[in-house]
Amino acid sequence: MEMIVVAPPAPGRLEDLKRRFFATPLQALLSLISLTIMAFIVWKLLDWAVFSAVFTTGGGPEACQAAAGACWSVITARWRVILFGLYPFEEQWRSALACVSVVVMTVLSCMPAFWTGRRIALVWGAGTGLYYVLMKGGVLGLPYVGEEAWGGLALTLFIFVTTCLVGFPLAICLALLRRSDLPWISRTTGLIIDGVRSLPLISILFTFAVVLPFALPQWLQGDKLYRVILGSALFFSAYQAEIVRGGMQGVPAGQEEAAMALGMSYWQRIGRIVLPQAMRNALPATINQFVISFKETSLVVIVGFFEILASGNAAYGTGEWRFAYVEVYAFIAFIYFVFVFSLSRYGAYLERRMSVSER
Amino acid sequence: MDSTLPSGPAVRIEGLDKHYGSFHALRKINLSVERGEKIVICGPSGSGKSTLIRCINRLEQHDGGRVTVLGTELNDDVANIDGIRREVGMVFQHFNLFPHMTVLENCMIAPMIVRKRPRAEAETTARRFLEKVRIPEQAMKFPSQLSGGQQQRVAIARALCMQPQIMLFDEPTSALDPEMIAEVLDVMVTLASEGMTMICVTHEMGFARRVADRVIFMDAGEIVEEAPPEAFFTSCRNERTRQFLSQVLGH
Repeated sequence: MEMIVVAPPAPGRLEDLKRRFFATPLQALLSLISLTIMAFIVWKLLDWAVFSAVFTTGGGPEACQAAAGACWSVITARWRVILFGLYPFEEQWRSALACVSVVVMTVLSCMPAFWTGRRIALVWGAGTGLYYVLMKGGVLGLPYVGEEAWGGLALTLFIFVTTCLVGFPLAICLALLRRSDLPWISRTTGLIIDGVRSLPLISILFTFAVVLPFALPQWLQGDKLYRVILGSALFFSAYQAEIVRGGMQGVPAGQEEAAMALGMSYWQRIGRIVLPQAMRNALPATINQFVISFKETSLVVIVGFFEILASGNAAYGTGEWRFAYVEVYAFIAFIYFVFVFSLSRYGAYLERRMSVSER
Repeated sequence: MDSTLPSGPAVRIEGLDKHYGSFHALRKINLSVERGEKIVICGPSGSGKSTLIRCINRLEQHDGGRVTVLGTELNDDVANIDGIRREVGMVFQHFNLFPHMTVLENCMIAPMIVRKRPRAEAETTARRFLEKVRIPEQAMKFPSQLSGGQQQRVAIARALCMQPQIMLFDEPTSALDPEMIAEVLDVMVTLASEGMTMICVTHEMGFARRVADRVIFMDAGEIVEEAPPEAFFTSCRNERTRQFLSQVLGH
């Protein structure tokens, strides 16, 4: 005997809304009240940010301050300080190009087509090399600009990207060492990871920037910027190592056994079988860690670097724009949002892409 | 490790001992397997049969006695072990296919990175063995899109792509639904008829009767009975073997 199953007709959008928010008179009332409040907030925000806002520097700070809405003139007047910090004004096109080179490098290395050892090395080598030459100059007729003058978005991006480039491989090494069969290796690594994780990032940055020069011979010190990046990479890798290790624990033991039975060497098993699956498991936590690291770059201000947040402070902190800090912070928040949101969307894309092969 | 290696048994195990902590998993096992011979190992769970065949490709380390495979003794020499593993294929109870690769890639990866075969050659070989296990049309799918029986046949093809001289089967049909057992056993029978050296841990007594040269019964880490299938099923001497057989064949 055959049964005929008829699916109930799908409710229309309007009906669905009605059912969810206006089922009873009380519910309808509450919905209406919340709706009014939300509309009010959105209106106020829009009014402040757009309708009553001033966008041009024509009237100067005074006219801007007098306006009822936001004073975006401060951004128009000072965006270069926010994006490029103390970098020499005439050379700021280099800083802009350097930002573009880092962003392009990041976008390229996010594309599956570039996921072979040679291509990714090429992209990263070219990207960071270009950034370095553009920023530092001293060659090809570009005037020299020392690291202490780098700043703004360009510096934030550089610190973030290099932290990840150095920290990620380090994290994988730490995770593998922690998994070692030899107890003294795994315990020592565990101790290092836990040690670094138990320190605040600020104290690590401070140690690398200020204390380390006393302990190291001159030729080993390098510029303060690179020591700070090393410190932040170490911090990143300690957390990321645990994320990777967690991902590895999610790979069934049978996977490595099958690889062994086929005669694969340790590095082949790790590189081809275990890590690709472990990174899948670890992806959400990894994206999380990237996002946190991006925002933590703002801490380098304590050792004297003017990354984007500190540059923002400088942008409104001098003289006539002192009143416009909300606008400056809103602008910086928007820049952070663009980067972090793209990062998390990319994470979502990766998860979708991987789930195709899981099912 | 050349396939033209003249003589000597494929596997020789002498006085093999294995402990897990205080548990004595294998006790003084002696076993010799000739080239081209088909051995079926059976026994109750926990009797050490899986541990025994896992000692042959050193997925388990033995702690007493000698294991010699294709003339090479297994010891701590990693190069030796990797060399042996290239020549000894293994099929697992739970297939252990690589879920992040297609069926074809599963079959190609080891020949490419272990045997350093060019991609085109590896693909030709892979397709040939997928044909042999009768699933050439599934080559571009991922393992999770296949049934258990199909996955196990891919696992057999994957092992065969390394063109091993010995095949180990560790309960290859135990995790399968009944209707899929036959398709896997058929492939194994074909393989046996082509002269492959096979050591199979299985409870498929029909298979044992059809292809085995010798059936081995293990209990509590020891080889209790060892005989050609006819003798094994009709006139086994040991009480424990009889009891086991009545349980496996009884229903």
